[in-house]
Amino acid sequence: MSQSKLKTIKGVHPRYFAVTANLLLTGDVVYLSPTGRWVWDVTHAKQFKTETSAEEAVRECQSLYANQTVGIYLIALDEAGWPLSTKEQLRTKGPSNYHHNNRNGQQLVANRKR
Amino acid sequence: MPDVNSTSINLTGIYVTDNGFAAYKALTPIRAVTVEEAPEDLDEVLNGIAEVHISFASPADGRGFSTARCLRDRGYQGRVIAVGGLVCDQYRHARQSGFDGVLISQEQAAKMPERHWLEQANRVAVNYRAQIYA
Amino acid sequence: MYHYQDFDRDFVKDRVSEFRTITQRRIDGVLSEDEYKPFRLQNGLYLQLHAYMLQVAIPYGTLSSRQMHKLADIAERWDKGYGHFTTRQNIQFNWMKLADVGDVLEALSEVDMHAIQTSGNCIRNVTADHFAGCAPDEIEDPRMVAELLRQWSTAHPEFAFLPRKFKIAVSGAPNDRAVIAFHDIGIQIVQNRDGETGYRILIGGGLGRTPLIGQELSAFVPKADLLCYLEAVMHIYNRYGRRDNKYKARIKILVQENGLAQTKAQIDAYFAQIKKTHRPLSETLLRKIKDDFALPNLSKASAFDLEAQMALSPAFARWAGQSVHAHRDENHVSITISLKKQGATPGDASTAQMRVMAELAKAYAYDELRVSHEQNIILPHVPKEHLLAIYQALQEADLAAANIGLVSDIIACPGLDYCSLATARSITIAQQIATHFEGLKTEYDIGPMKIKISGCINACGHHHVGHIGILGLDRAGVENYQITIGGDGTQDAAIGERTGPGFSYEQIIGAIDRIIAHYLAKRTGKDESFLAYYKRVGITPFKEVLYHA
Ligand code: SF4
Repeated sequence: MSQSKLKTIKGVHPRYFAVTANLLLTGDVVYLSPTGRWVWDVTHAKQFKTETSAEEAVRECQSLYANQTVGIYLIALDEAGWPLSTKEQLRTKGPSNYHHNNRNGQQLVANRKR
Repeated sequence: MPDVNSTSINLTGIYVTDNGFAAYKALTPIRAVTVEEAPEDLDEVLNGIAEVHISFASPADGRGFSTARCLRDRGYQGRVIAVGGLVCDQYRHARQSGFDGVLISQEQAAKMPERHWLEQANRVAVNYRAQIYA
Repeated sequence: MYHYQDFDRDFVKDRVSEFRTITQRRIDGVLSEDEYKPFRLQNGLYLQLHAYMLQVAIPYGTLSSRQMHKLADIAERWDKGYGHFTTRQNIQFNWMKLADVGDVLEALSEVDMHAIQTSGNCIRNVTADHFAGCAPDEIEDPRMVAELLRQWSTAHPEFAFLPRKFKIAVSGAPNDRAVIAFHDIGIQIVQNRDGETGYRILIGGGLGRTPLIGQELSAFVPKADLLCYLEAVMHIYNRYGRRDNKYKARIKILVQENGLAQTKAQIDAYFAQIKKTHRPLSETLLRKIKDDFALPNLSKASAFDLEAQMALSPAFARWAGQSVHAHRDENHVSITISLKKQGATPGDASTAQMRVMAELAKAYAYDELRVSHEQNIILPHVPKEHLLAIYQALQEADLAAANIGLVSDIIACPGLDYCSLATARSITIAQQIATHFEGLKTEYDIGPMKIKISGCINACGHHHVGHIGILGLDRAGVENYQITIGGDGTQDAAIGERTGPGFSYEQIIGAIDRIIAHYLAKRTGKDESFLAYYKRVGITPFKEVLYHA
């Protein structure tokens, strides 16, 4: 299953997990917050301590938010709550060939991390 | 090869044509033709058959369109009905490939009401073939 | 170029309204994502990493200035001010919002454009030689048959749910600039011994996981039979192509598993069956297509002396040396505008750049532009006397990179910066390679070089046919790049050979540098191109410099 990929990424064990999706109407990358809302900043995402609890949240979101979001899944985070895989880092920061970051202009997040 | 094999044939449901929904009434004898069968081998089998059912396993599996097309190419004149997994946006594809109509279940009808099928029925006549061929 | 008739226009408008209706059902929650997704894909709308991406069809890459202006307007109003021209001669917009797409499609329909069949398991946008209609070696303009195929394949009822996508390319000349040997079907316009024009058909070529060179299915299909023959090909593929495994679902696998002979026999048998009742093509349509693709009324000779002008300005000479190509009319040339300025994203053009190119086409080049599969823009018919003015305007718009055909003229797919299927970045690798060799000032010395980069095994960046191909993979969350050498997408079709284990994101530029430094040091002279050198020495010396240095 795809979860087994999360065991280690770049040789690092995930410290936390988060739930992510794209918004149906805009396609924006969003994360589930501790208060059960969708937020744009990964550092405001709810950090799950275990993969199982994040999986449960994914299932719950799939039934609750199937018409507001597309493709809900879980990602692995490091110590600092930052995505581990290059793909998820790019999803958070926006493409690396331009400096406009993603649609929400998350320069704040991006600058802090790179 | 099964010939007139009515046990595996669905005889209930809603029959969708260009006029919309109607209760399905079979024309017998019926023969189900699977997408694995080669229509080239069926000329004799279909002799005298009034209605052919071609089943779609899922909306993504378009083999049934070719089966219907090939039957028509070979001169089959009876009624040809699509059964199974088609969705309403595929109505035009079915009609333009040689089907007379689509047989759907009550659940399918509840999800895809008659007006959705009729919208697509209006598109059956819209086809590049009229512009391309003499 | 082809001008829409009422039918084409009504058809596209109807699809826009259908898109709006069905998308609203999704937004209202009547349709689930699973139900909606196939429909959105049939209309060219993908969900990528950061946003929706709309892939707009540009049939055989041909555009008018009005259409290019409209693409610029869309980029400005609904995107972030740029668009990405692709290896399918299309354009993609990377920052679409679902709620806006109906309006974008409406705007496209105003200039006779759409995004239909740019995704999904159907017949995709037909591509053709980007020098169609102007190349001196051409037998016939391939866009005439490509247009016929466009109409035939659009909304074809039988072939909308194939086992997998299906790509067709057409070349009108013996020199293949349309990569026809790597398409599901490649069509080459040929003449038989009686001087009659017809088509040579290649089948089962392709890139991706299993790269294969197309094989000859028929040496000569007469003009009148082409659509009927292709119906037979598609019918057999639709019936027998594998549906159990999407990696084995392309027609190339059917041909590989059953053999060319059996596939051909099935196609021929079905062709014989349908030929009897197949209706002849409409003479009216054929005449219209012929008229629409007639050469523009080319202007008469002028006093412009290209050689003398080149002698005056070395910068202009460098640009003209790479970007100007012979035209069948001696007073005209074709120009390639580079979308590959060193450090820029290959294939991207900003709103302002699109507008400049549109205006240049209108003012100097009979109102016509082309998108090449190499992700550049072509002005196909340019009177020589306007070359200097065009060059100056391009310079002002930052579009005058003199690098066509060189090491920085790289094909790169969107890769992990945008694409949800990607396993590694490709754009940033292209940017680094281009700036690296620009810094070394060796571009001209290296000479003809085609580097092609894909961000995953799907090979949208055509890496298998790059002189140097780079394939980005994922190794436990880390980007890793495999190199192939010796690929060739022309009539001498060849699939590149893998050098060995891959390189990390940090190592790959150094590896490419070693390959090229080795070539520069060991070639017999400047007239031995990279590809010629590879053909002479093989892969071994490259392995040496890559892994044992
Ligand atoms: S090759 Fe892969 S990464 Fe690149 S555009 Fe195609 S699918 Fe996306």
